[in-house]
Amino acid sequence: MTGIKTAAGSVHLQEIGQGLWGQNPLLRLGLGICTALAVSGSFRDSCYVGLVVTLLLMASNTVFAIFGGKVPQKLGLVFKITIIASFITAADGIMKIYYADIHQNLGIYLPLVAVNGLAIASSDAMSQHGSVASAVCIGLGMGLGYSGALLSLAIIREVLGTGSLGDLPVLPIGFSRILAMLHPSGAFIALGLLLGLFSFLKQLLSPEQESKESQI
Amino acid sequence: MSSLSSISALFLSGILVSNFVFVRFLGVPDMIASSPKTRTAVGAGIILTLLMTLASAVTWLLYGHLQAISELISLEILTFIIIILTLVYMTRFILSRLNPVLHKEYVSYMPALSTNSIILGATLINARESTSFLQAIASGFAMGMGVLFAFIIFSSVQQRLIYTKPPRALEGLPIFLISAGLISLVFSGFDGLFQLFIPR
Repeated sequence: MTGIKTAAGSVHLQEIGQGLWGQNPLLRLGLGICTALAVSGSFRDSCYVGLVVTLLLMASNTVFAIFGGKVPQKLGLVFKITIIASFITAADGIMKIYYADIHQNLGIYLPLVAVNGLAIASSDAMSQHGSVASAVCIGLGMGLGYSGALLSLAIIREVLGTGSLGDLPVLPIGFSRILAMLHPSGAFIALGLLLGLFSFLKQLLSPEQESKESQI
Repeated sequence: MSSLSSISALFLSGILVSNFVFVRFLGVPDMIASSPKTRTAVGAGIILTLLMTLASAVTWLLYGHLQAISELISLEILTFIIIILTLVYMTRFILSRLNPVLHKEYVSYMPALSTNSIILGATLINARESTSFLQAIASGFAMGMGVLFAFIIFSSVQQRLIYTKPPRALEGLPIFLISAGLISLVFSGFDGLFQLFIPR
């Protein structure tokens, strides 16, 4: 009995790990780029967006796992977008009431999470007849992977741009700040370099697999 | 007269000062995925411009009604997305009847339009900032022109990138993002053009 349990547990762990590394939405699949670029200027905002995305993916995947089979194939996309938009509307409303300053900062970029393909990609990642638990694990993995990438981007930009992380000074006083990092151009360049670093690490860790993929 | 000058200011702001792609980050993936052929990029930009203008007009009218019933204002995201989906599918149908050749060229691009941050972003910005129907249409069109401009610039950059050989880790998406960053640096030079129109 315990053997079956641990086997199921390891499958779920694998699903979470897949979202964190192999199928990382931002670094590997290139999804959610516009939100990441716009929000990562501030570490605090990025934390909230990461939280919202993780919860959104888990919730929407749960709904798709329960009701997905009953929806006609033709209406699949419309059904998915409607569900995702409903969750985002809820998140937007909650943010508006309880975290008004952050809601003000995020502006239109929180609603845009609904259409940037993250949630649709994570729903495509789950198998047709998968259990609810595995759907939640895929959502959790992808959400954590996205949050991790977003937070590392935010740390790079905020530390280099302002010299401190939140209220905590990080860089020594003599260090000159790179103001461009806070501008749109800095966002593009920092994300490009981060993606480059990620694919460099990927090649370093598994060179054979990478060459196979590029052959295909 | 004043409305005329404000509309020309809208155009300058939409195309240069707060360019949709390079300053507001909307539609970056679409720009990167768009073809290096300038002709196809222009076609995609024109379709996007038309859809943005149309969606801005429809959603601005609807937003006024939602505002009148104050409890429904929080439903803007859901209603806007459904309206955009309807418009995209309608355009697809009309295009297939009017010009089957053009339709065949863009049929693979069309589904991506419905889950597109450009159109939703334009409608959300318009609903928040525009004060009149005319302004909503003009600003939707101006933002669309900004997207078209960005697509044309980036397609030429992509043509150049074909002949370069970046380090292997930077191939593909990373080098596109870095070149987009350099173009965006140019656009940040327009920042002081209009003190009034700096985003946020």
